[in-house]
Amino acid sequence: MEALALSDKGTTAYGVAKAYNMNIAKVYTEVKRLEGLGLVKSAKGNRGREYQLVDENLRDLALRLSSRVQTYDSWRSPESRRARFRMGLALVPRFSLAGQSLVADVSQRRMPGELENLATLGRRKFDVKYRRTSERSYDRL
Amino acid sequence: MIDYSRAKKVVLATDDPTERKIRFMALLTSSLPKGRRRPVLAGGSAIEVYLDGTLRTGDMDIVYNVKALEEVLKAWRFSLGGGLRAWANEELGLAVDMVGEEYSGSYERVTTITTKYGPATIMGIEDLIVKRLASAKFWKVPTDVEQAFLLAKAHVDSIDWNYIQEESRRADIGDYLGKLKAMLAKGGN
Repeated sequence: MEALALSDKGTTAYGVAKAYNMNIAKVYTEVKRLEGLGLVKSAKGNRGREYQLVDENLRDLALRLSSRVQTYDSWRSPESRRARFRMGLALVPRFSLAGQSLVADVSQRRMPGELENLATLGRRKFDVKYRRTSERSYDRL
Repeated sequence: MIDYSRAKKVVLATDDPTERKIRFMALLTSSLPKGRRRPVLAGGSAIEVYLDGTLRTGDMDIVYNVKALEEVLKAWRFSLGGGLRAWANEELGLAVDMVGEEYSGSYERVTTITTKYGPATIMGIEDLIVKRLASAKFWKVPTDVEQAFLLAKAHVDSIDWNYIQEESRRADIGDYLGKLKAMLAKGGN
């Protein structure tokens, strides 16, 4: 919704998936669902079917609810500027000239044991689906 | 070449996005000329397969001859999507990023999954771990350390650690390999 709200011209489902690092199949399913509800309209564009929000109130709501940190390019785009203007925002995001952190520290974002549990879950699911036949070969069960 | 209607039927017969990618790779391999290197699924989608969807990614990075791959993709109604290399088929809900013919990992360490639609070749776990650690170090992508950890932890019994050690030395990421090993010893915390 946020991606559609930020774009005045319409955007492809692929573009949304790429920009937000989302599963493309889920994005397709979601835009189709929104289209079915009449909240989104689509038209054939240069790079496939492009989707656009129909309702301006919905666009404002999506932007208000949005908590994503935008990329600089996205933030300075004309669409984004117009969206901020509509929302009456005058805040400038913080920036720093200090550069990126030299240490890739992700420990603050995770619960204790979360990654280990994810790894265990991933392996269990893999073992349910595939049977090992040799060192680097599996059969799909 | 397998015709599009058959490919579509097979891919869409499952709702599981990871399974769709495996089926697509198997059909693609079966549609390409025999007697040469098979297409290899690399990057985030390969990690998705090893963790069976515990992590999800978008497009599929495929290593293969670009011209031959493009031919199949066009026949299967893919069209250029967002980037210069990315092809998407909205109907299948799949996007393919052609990353070139040059496979940067070890062909001896790729994983082959045999399906009833053909074989699907996935980048080796060791090379994925090395690439993720390099990305974390040189591109400062912190989640890549997590992905390396998830792969290493989930498949710890099938990893060639000597190979990882050697490749890490070559790629100058020994410090990040040390960090990964410390994470494994502590259980990821």
